[in-house]
Amino acid sequence: MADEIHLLAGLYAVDALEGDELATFEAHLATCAECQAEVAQFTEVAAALADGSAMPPPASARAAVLARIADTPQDPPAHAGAEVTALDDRRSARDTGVERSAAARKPRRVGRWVAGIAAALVLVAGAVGAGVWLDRLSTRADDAEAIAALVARDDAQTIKLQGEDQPAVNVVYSPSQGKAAVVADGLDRLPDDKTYELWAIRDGVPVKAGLFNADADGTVRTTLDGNLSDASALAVTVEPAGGSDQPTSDIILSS
Amino acid sequence: MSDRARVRLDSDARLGLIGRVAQGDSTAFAALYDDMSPTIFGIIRRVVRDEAQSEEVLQEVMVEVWRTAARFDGAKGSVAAWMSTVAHRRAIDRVRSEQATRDRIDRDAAQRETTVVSVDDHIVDAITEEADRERIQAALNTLTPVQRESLELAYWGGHTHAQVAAILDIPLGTVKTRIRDGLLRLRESLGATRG
Repeated sequence: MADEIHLLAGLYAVDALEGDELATFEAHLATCAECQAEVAQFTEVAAALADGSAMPPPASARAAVLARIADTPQDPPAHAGAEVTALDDRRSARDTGVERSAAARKPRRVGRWVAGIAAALVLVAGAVGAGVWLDRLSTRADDAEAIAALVARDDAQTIKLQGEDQPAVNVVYSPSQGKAAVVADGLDRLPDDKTYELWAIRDGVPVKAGLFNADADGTVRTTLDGNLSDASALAVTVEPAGGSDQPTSDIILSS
Repeated sequence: MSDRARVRLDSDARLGLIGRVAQGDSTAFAALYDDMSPTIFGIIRRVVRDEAQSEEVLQEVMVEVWRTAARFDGAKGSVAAWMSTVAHRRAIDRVRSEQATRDRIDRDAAQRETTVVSVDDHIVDAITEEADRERIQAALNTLTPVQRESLELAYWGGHTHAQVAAILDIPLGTVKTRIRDGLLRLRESLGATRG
């Protein structure tokens, strides 16, 4: 019942929801502009009420806080998921500490990345936002910048390549830029005498589309020249260093 | 007048400060702390009650504000509302453990028998500037007693709506409606005086 879930905006704003109901409402909130507006307004109301209870903290707290922030690194700005920042804030405030939430995020880099690309494409996030976001995830700032510029293009598209034994690899490309980028986390790093090769399948024929390898930590952020828009599919094989003109091994990832 | 009187920043000034905090400006952070810490501490103190624990939570909140300043989105609401939300959530986390919850339900249920609304009015009186206090008091007075009771049990008592229903012995749906209607009415009356 839509009406029923609407009533929860008030409870949410005063943090009176928990458990399944909280999760259900947050899921609804993510897609309901009406509830978002209501929660925002109710949150302002609650803050105004709080003004009526103002009470100066002990003076010692100020020095303690200022000492603590001197040693506390700051999170980077909101990324392409800025849409849900308010919700994230509530969720992160739920965690008992900074360290815990940071640790909990780490193993899910791939998922976040994939979601991030999708969000960026949907929102057509500005180059600034996307740049910051990519910079955060990338180990190589230059590539990150190039990829950010790519993702920010209106015509940017993303293709997910999947395989049996490898994590998914995303290929982002922009026809207008004539560039593509390979983005992955947790991919096996190949020895120096081997390379991953991307193939664009055109009319059933694989055409070489670029080489890439993973960092020691499995990160891939590689930009490639070439337009993939007329390809019917993409595939990846492992080839000798320098790449091949035709695939010489089985496809390990494909769209 | 009183040396307790605070000069409050307006929302644009806070927005400017949070932008500088996001850039790692600790001077701006100190200014924001000076402006907002009484409001933040007031929320925490009323929910958590214990002074030492409240100070710990205040520190957690302020460090979180520092850490996540760059993620603040002015399009989503004011700096004050954002900081208040973080503070309220942290305060609730502190008190919403099993035993603490049971104790608070007992306490609030017991208090209800003597006084319908359990606000620490002496704290409010001692600290808040007169104008603010009157404005908020006037807004609260537009609520029906049962709306105000449900709202304050949830916001200041830190109770879930199920707990509020149990304390007041009313159906869940009634709690939802009362809290929502209460907030709507407050929004209306505060909206007239807030920019």
